[in-house]
Parts: sequence; C-alpha cells; structure tokens
Amino acid sequence: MFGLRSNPLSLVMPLICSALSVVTALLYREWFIGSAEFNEIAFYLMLGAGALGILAIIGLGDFAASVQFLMLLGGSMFYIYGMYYYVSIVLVGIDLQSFSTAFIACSALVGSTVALSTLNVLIKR
Amino acid sequence: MRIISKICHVVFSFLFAIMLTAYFITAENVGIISAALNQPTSERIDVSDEIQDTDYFKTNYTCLDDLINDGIALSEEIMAEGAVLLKNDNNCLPLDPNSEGNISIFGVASVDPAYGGEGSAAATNPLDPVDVKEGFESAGFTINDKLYGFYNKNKNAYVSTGYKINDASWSDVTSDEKVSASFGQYGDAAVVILKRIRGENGDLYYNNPSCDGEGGNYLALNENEKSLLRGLAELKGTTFNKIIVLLNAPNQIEAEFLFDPEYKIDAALWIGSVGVSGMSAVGKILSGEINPSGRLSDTFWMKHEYNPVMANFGVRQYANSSDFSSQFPTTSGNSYTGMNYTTYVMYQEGIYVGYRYAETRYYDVVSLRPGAGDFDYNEAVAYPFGYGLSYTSFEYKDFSVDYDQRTDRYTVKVTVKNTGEVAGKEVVQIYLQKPYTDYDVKNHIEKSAAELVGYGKTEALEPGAEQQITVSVNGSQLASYDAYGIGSYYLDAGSYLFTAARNSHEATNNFLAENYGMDTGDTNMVASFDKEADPITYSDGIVNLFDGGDILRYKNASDKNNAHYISRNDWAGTMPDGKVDIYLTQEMVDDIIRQNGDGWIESGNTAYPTYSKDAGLQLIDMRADNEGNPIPSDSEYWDEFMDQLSYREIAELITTGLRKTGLLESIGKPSTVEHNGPTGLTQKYGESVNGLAYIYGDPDSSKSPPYYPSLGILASTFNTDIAAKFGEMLGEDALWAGYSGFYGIGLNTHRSAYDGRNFEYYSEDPFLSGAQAARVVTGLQSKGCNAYVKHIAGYEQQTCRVGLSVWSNEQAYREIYLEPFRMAIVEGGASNAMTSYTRIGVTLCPASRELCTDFLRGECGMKGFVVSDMWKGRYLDSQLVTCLMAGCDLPDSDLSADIYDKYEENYGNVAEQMRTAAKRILYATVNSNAMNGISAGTRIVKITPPWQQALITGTVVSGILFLLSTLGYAITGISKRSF
Repeated sequence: MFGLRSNPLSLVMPLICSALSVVTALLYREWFIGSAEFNEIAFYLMLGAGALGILAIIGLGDFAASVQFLMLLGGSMFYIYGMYYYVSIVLVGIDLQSFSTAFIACSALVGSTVALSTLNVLIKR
Repeated sequence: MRIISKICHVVFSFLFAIMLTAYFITAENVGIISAALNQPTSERIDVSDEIQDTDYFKTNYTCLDDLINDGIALSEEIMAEGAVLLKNDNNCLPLDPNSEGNISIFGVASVDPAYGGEGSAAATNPLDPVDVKEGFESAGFTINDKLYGFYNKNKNAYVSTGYKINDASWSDVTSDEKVSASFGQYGDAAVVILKRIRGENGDLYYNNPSCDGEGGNYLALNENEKSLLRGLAELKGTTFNKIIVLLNAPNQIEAEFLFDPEYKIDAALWIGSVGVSGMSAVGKILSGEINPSGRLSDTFWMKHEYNPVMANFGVRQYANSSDFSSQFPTTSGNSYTGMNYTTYVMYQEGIYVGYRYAETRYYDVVSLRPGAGDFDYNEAVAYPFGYGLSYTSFEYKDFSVDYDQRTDRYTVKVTVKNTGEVAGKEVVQIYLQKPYTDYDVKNHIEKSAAELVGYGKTEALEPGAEQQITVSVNGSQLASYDAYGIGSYYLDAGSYLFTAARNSHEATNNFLAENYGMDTGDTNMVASFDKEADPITYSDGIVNLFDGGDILRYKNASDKNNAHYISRNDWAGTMPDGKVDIYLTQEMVDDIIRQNGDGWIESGNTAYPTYSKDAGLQLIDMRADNEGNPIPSDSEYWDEFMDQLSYREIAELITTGLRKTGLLESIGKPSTVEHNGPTGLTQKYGESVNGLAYIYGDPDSSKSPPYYPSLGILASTFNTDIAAKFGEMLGEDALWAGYSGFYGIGLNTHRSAYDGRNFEYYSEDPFLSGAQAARVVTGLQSKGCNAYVKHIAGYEQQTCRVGLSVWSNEQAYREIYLEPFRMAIVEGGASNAMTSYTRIGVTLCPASRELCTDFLRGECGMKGFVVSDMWKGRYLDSQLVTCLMAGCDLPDSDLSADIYDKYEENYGNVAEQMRTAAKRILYATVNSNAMNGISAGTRIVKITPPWQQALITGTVVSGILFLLSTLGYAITGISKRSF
C-alpha cells in the first residue's frame, strides 16, 4: 500500500533507528532493571520499535517510520515517567547532587532515538 | 500537502505525548503542585447557620510581619545562648568596639557562611540572612572592606565544593597588595571563620584521599587554612593584636589546632550554622554586649581518631556477601535507588558514645582500674561535653539532694553566685554516677562514669547576685538496661552519686574526689545514695525488644562472627581494632528477603471489621465529647466512627502520604500538609491554601519563615524555655503556612561528628536531646501542629543509609538511641513518628513490630501514627503490607490504593490493621490545626484545581489533534500512492 522506497535513506534510516533503539533498550535495562526508574513499557516499546526495522527491509518504510516514531515517542514518555522522581530528587538535592552517568547516557540515547525517528518520518521518500 | 501532513503528525504527536505524560506525572503530585500554585483541592461548604468558634488553635499574631520579626529575633536569641566560647586566653574577648573595633575577617566563610544545612532540610526560599558584615557592623565593629571585597570577588574560587574544603591560602590573600596593606588599619583583631557543612546527601569525608583536609579528613584543617593561620601568627604583635577563630560548623572540627602554639590563637567560639540572624548574636558576643552562656552539646575531640566510634563509622559488606548476592533482588548502579541488603555497621562502642567513653575511660585510668589500658584524656579531648566559658565567673554552693520516696524523685539544689564583674548566665549540669558492679560485669551491663540527668540555667545574674537552681531527677534514671540478665531495667545495688558541675569532666573529677579522695574535684558538690538491688520497680511491662538487632543475640547469626562490644571491664582488650567482620547465614538472608513481600502473612477466616455503616458522624465530632472533653484514642466512640468507612476509603487514606494526609469527603476529613526539616519551615508562607497567610491574603505571603541555627546550638543553650519558645514559634509558622505536621523533631544521636545530618539533630547525649526536644514538641503541638519524631531508629550516618543493617545491643539502643524519642513522646507528648531507612539488625525499621508497635505504642504510649521515610524509589510496593502489619501506618509517598485490593477477602487480620492505621491518622488529624475552620456543619468537597482542569482540557484537545493529524498523514500517504 505504501509502495516501494524511492530514497536510499528510507531504508537506511529505519535500520539505524532500529539498531539505536535496540541498543538503548538493552542498555536501559542493564543499567536500571530492578530500580524504581525502570519502566517495562518503555523498554518494550523501544525494543518493539527496533524490531520494526524489518518493515523497511520489506518495503514498508513509510509505515515503519511512522509506527517506529510513535513507539519511540511513547517509549520516551514512559521513560520520563519512570525517571521524573529521580530527577526531582537530584534537583532538590535530597540524595544526590548530580545525575548519574547511566542516567545521562541513557537520556541522551533516548533523545537521539526520538530525534532520529522524527527525521525518519520527515524525510522525503 | 504531504510534507504539511507529516509536520502536523510529528508536532501533534509530540504535543499529545507531552501532555499525556504531564497529566500522569502531575496526577501523582496534585497536592504538592496545588499547594505551590495556591490552588485548593477541596472546598468547605457550611451547611449550618450556627456560628461557632472553630479556631481550635489560635495564633498570637495578626500579621506575618510581626511573626517573621519575632522569629528572626528568636533565631538571634538561640545563637546568643547557644554559641560556646571555647577559648579566651588572657581575656582576649570581648573586644571593645570603641577602642579595638577595627577588624579583619578572614576565610571565604566571611562572605559565604553556613546559615543552615544541605539536603531536604535546606531552606529553599530563604529570607535574606544577616550576613557576617551586617552582623559585625551592627555590633559596632568596622570591617576591613578591602579584605571583605577580596573574598567577595573571589568567592566562587574558594568556596567548598564536593570533597574539597578549598578556601584561600595566605599567599592568595596577600597576593593583592592593597589587601595586604589594609591589615594595619584593621589590626585590632584577625577573625578567622572556618566553615564546614553537609546534609542529607552524604556524610563528611573521613580518611578519603579525595578530600583536601589533612589526612583526607573534612573536619581537619586543609593546607590553605593552615597557611592562613600561620601567616596571621607571623603578623601577630606587629599587625594584628589578637587572633580569633569562629567555628562555623554544626559538626565538630578537630580542635587540636586551637592549642597549637604555632597559630597563636587567642580565642575560639563555636557557632554551628547560624540561621537567619545568628550572625547578629555572634557580633554581639565578640563585642561583649552578649555574655556567652552556651555549653557544648557534643565533645570536641583533639582528633576524631580518638573517638572509638570512628573504627566502625561508615559501612562494611558482610564478609561472605558474594555467596548470597544472587538471592537478593537486583539493584541498579544508581545509588539513589539502591536498597542495601548486604551492608552493615556495628555500634561496637555500645553506650560509650562521646563523653560517656572519654570520661569513663579517664575515670578508670585515674582510679587504676585493671584493664583500663593506655589513655591520655588531655591528648584525646579538647573540650568536654558541657564545657563553655563566660566573660564572668560563677561560684557553686549550698548543694543538696533530697529524695522523695513517694514520688520517687530526687530534688537537686545548688546556689550559683556571679563572682565576676559582668552579668551572665550559668548552666548547672547534674550528673549521676551509677555503681559498676560484679553483677554488671557478669551480665555485660555498661555504666558511664558520669551521665547527665538534669540541668538548669540561671537568669542573667548581675555581679554578686545569686540564684538557686532546682533540678528534679526521676528515680527511673538510676536504673540501667540489663539486656543479658533480667531483660529489662534493673536497679543495681550500690552507691549512686549526684554532682552539680560545669561540664562532664568536672563531674567526673568530683566523683573521683568523692570515691578515691583525689584532689581532682569538689566533694562538697557530691551527694551519695545507697540503693538495694531492685529488679522490679522499673521493669514493669518492659522486656527485650531488640535481641534481633544485637549480633550476639540474633538467633540466626553466624558462629564465624568476631563481634564484641567495648567493656569498661577490659578497655584494653575490647577496644575496636578495625571494623567488625560479620558473616551472613542463609537464615539471615531469608529474614531479609521475607520483608520484601507478604508471603509470611497468614490468610484465613479472621473476621473483617464493619464497613460503610451510616452513623452520621463527621471527623469533627471526634474532637471532643458533649462536655468538651477530648475523646481519647481508645474510646469506643472511635469504633462507631470507624465503622462508617468503606474498605476502599481506608485503603486510600493509608496510601496517601508524601508530606501530607489525604482527604476523605464522607467523614469531613480535610487533607493536611506536613512540613519537612527541623531547623525551620522551608517553604513560603503562602504556599498552602490551609495557612492563615493565604486565607488572610497577607502581603508578606511570598516570604519564607525564618530558619534557625543548627539544633546542636539549640541544645547548647541548655535552656528548656528557649526550646519551648522555638517549638511555639515553629507552631505559629505552621499555622500561618498551613502545616498540620512537622517532620522535624530530629532525634538521632551525634554518634560521630561525620554524619551529614548532624545539624538536624541535637546532641551526643540522649538526655539533653530528649529534654530539649520534649519542650520543642510541647510548644509546637500547642499550635496544633503534630510533631513527628524522626528518624527512629539507628540512623547515625548517611552512607548506604537505605537498608543499612545497624547492629548494636539493647542497652545502647534503649539508653542512647531510643531515649530521646521516648522522652519526646512521654514528656513532650509527640503525636507521630517517622521511621529510619536503616535496619535494626536485618529488620527494616518500618517493618519492625518491636519498634513501631511494642516500643512506640506499648512503652511510650504514642497515640498518633508512624510514617515511613520517603517510600518511592526505596521500598517496594510489595513491602507495604509488611510495614503496615508492623505498625508503620503510612508510606511517605503517594501509592495506589489498589495494593490493598488483594486483601479485601481472606485477610481479616490485614483489614483490622488497615483500620487501626487509618484511625491513628484520623486521630492525629482531628487533634491538629487542620480542623481549624471546620464545624459540625462543615462539609468538605473534593475539587479539581484549575491547573489540573486546564491540563485535562489540553490533553484531550491535543489527543484529538493527534488523531486528526495521524488520519491526515495516513490519507495523504494513501493518496500519494494511489494517484
């Protein structure tokens, strides 16, 4: 229905996006599993978005980009929902005066996946 | 068209996602956000025409301006009576501002002093404090502006950061020639301010190579400070006449340097953290307008390494923890979230905390007790507990102690005469020495050579004036806890000695003089009472509760442990030689893990309480009976009242915490807002709609309440009237700011000077902590603000605090760590308590029935409720019912009431405990200022605050836009392919 790809980026971008999503999901799990900051829905949405790269390979790049974008956006929101309490604790200085490296790295990765998937939707195919 | 639809799709997706997330996050924090925005979450509807006086707790003020000014004055008064003059060689102080008023103030703290502490108790919107310059100038001094300007300009380069003390070295200060040249003009005195501060987020660094204090020690001087003191010493006698040191630290800086002739220091004053206006008092103390009368609430060690506590301060992993690590829930590498399962600290010193160690060891060494070992008191202790100088001198006379068998009280009297030349106040300290007997040795009971059992403070006595001080001591204070013998309080046979003294060391010397005929003290200040052994009188209803917290008694302890406690029977053989090794056993691990769930709770056919029975009662009806008498918590009337609530309402009430209690419309229970932090309210007056500031629309609503000096300074006043005044002022602030509870009666012990939260706690001595706090509680609750004593118990360090196992013995728990709590509840009437993050042995404090129920309710008679410390991020939802069953009634977080759904059938025992917890919350609420403005005809209705309405609307609209844009995006995609 969405036709063949007309732009090489329409294949590459979803795949990069997928790879980054999987890496982000796995690192998020590795760093935060068992903690109050770990949100399972966020993890599965990120992982699911990663799996969608397969759709680009079979020619559903437009559809894949859109769904991937929504899943990653949702995942990032659940990620924020899981993290907000930690962020507030750090900001008021109750426990920690600075954010952990894991949090900074994970947040950067989550932000990157969302930014990339947004570009993936907007590129011309 | 396609690109527009894409952009719309992306933009509206983002918008909807953000709105939705914001909705869910804010929905969990409606109370706090509404309070911050001054928007109510409920409204009161009066359905009766009857006019009643519903100001159950009245304010003494008509406007905030007066209240704030009185608070600022009180903050200054606390410092005036609490600052301790440690050293005053050759009467260096006071300085006459008229003849020696040109002074230079050194140290970056001159422009950045410690006003309060860090962490959750830090003032977030502080009132403008009286700074050093203002404080000193208002006392008549002229400050070296060039030096002050130097520090101001370079403040950011020199302030303490992270592990570093920093500050400016002597070469930094003198690198500016204009600054150096100014010294001569302001050479009457060099005042050096040394600052140390930490807070909830960490302990002070000890033996940490990253710290620049000597030996990695944050409470030692660093090289910059030393070079500054050396530089000043070189100029003493030529440029500077006197060198004065101000210790601006709630924690005790190692004091050895004050005796070092290299630094030529003339005078030293301990000022803790100074609060909003304490600096005014400091200036006046230096000028002599105020005669210092504070006495140390903690021992000042020469070096902290002499304190035996330091051998076991910090954490240790169970020796074989790696063997069991796979059995514990996985925790992340994020220290905020980590519940500790395998870390512990052992309070190996037992009761020998602070002066109890120093004085007892000294007593035993001087009296040649076998096994006393090698101990040089003067090498270890710089200034003893209770010590403090004055600008005048006092004589003690006419000492007497009378015992009244009927009341079982000792009345101690002593007359104090001002024998100096200026007016001043004196603190009379009453110490007790219990006999250390063969029974004690056999049953491992430890006795301090001197322990504080009472104190009194004179009025300001003019030269030549006298005042008799009378102190009452309860007979129960003579008993000791016999954990290994009868398992209760035991009055040993032997001679019990009382003395009136100026400090703990003088008391010990008086006892030595009395017992051994030494010329160390004054036997005229000692009275002796012989007692027969009495295992009955003080043991009624009291049994061992904390065997599980004593590794020598804990039933599942490993036989490989090398643990023992210090004993005065063999000082040399029992002193710590490093942290104690303790091993895990499988049974210990099982005990720890069992608390993570509810599998241990039996289900069955236990009857459920009655629910949803209409009795027509509102909460306000439970305030007083028809004659106006308060309804006690054990009245049957409460049963009838509680029958009205539904299971769901109860579940919601006992899961709605986080510095508040929830609203229950059906019974007219208002939501309450509780404050956190012991040194003053930290939020603005107008932030709660419940407060008088908001209700009256006071023009100063945007201001914050005054904040006060560190509680060690309040303790050092040794003045219970000031403590009561402090409590009442906090209560007034609470009335005006809309708080009905105060998470702020900080009663943990200053076991070590390195606990980051020491500024929130009173003293190393349990009696001083408890006596001062009891009066604070009384004052606070007189204004309807419920006192929460915290953090019970065994929370004397920050490192690995969440889940840290604390091993001690029952005598130490009861006589040192729980005694301040007991006094604040029994003598002060504290309504509520907050548990600690730590464990007693392996049992989490909120999961300890012995602590939350048997001790707090059974022994102390506490009537209100127990709240956990911050729940979210630390504890698991599955632990909630375990804590509930132990007697911890409320989590300090908002949790879902659904957690209790599974207990709605087959768990009558859980339902009964839920009802008990709810009743305790309701009892505390109905007796608080939250009921002000509520009459029998008032109905309370929940409303959605305007900000939340706007957010809901925005979320719905963005959701519609998201759907439309997604539809448009799909259609244009199909169109593109179709045509």
